[in-house]
Amino acid sequence: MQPESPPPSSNNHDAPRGLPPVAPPSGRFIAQLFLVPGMIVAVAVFLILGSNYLVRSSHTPDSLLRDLDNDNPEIRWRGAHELAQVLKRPESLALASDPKFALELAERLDRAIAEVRQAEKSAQEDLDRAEKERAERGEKLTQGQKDSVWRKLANPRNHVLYLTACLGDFTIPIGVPLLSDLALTDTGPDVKAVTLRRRRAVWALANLGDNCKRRYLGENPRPEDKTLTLEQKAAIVAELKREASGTSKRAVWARQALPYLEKSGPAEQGVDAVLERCAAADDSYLRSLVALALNFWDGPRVEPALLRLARDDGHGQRLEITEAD
Amino acid sequence: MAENSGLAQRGLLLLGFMVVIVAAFSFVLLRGPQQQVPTESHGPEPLIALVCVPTAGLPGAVCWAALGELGEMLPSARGWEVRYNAVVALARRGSAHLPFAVLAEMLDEQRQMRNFRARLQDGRNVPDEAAARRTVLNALKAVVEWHKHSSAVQAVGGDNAGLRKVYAAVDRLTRSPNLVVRTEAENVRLSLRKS
Repeated sequence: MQPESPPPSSNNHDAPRGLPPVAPPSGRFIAQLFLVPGMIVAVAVFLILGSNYLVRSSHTPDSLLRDLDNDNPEIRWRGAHELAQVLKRPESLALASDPKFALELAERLDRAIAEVRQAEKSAQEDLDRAEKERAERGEKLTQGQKDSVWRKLANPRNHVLYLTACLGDFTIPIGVPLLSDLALTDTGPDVKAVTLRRRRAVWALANLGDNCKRRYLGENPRPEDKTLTLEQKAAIVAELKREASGTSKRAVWARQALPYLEKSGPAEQGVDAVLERCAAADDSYLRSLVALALNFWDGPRVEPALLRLARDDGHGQRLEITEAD
Repeated sequence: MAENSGLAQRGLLLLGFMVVIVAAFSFVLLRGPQQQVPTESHGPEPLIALVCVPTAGLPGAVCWAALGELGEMLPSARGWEVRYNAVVALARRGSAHLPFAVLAEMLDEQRQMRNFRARLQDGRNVPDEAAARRTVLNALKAVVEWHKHSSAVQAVGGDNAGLRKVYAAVDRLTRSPNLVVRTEAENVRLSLRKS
């Protein structure tokens, strides 16, 4: 026989002195105990998911391009800032591998380069005219006055530099022809602007080569890297083939990117040859960037260029360019 | 009464602790950023005086031994940033024409301390230790990368004088005062023995 268990305590018994009376929990109380925290958690999860959805939907190629083209400079720069942040993230692989988006940005860079070159040419003509007028009066333009003329072009110049960097953050080499053009253009009215554009273009080529290798081809990926699947690569190539028909610049850029992605054509659009020509530049900082960029591109001219740079004697001048410039 | 006096003692003790914490916090806050300036081995100045022997004619006018030693104590010749980047790229590609002299120079910790300089707020020109050691670590990685290309290693040959200088430089780095460099150099030496 088992011993009888003690009777459960109830309110019928007198509570010990000093303690409040104990009442059994009601169904409503138990529901409140779980329901209220549950509702709080549900609202928090809803808010997080909602904000994630809103943020993600604002990072579509169309919305980013809309912001970049906005007439309001505030919206334009905010969009530019967002794009710069988003493109580098591992989770933005699809965006950084979107051929249409890359081609749209390439078109904008092409326009921006043409505009800035035209603006620089006009500014140089204005400067020449002003200098001539001053010379007739026996005066000379000061360096400060000349600099102030160039500083007026800061916004379009920064726009070019920004788009240059963006094209380097893609995993597909759409920007190679434009970046190569910028890297090879060594003449212009303002030597500092030309030098800075060349340096940024070579830096962007280095980034682009690195991104293509790691994120598109899956060579030596970093632990945080996401690489494209075979289906995604096939979709990119198919999209580029659609874009490649025609004679527009856009079609030419698409056609030039295809051999690299399909590993079928000539040595990677001749980036090795472009970098080799840049390796002969007078700017020693540019040459050190070229040596860095050659890590990420292949081709028959890579090793000869590197061997030449490995014997570099530091010739030429190293132009220091500050924020004020 | 006894309980009250205990309370006062505990209060005083707590106050003491708080004073110590506030003092420590203030010390950390007001101390400001301080970094130990790395010490340098003796400079090249004494050797400069020894290089020239004004009492003799050329070639005796130059103390060639001192000149060679002086070369070792100066920063690298102009263009070293370009050369270093190129050599790392060549090593990663497994080039059979890798300039080992430049690679050995990159593995010279003291040379890198002379190459990478930083100017302090008080105007002193001191070695930029972080940048110098980053270059040494990059060079160590480049050594390992190059050895992964067996065809290049075979083409160069294990008894190549330049390559031996690189191995000697790696050996020297295993005695580096910096733990990270020392450990990496040890790892490189182990991986070279395996390969």
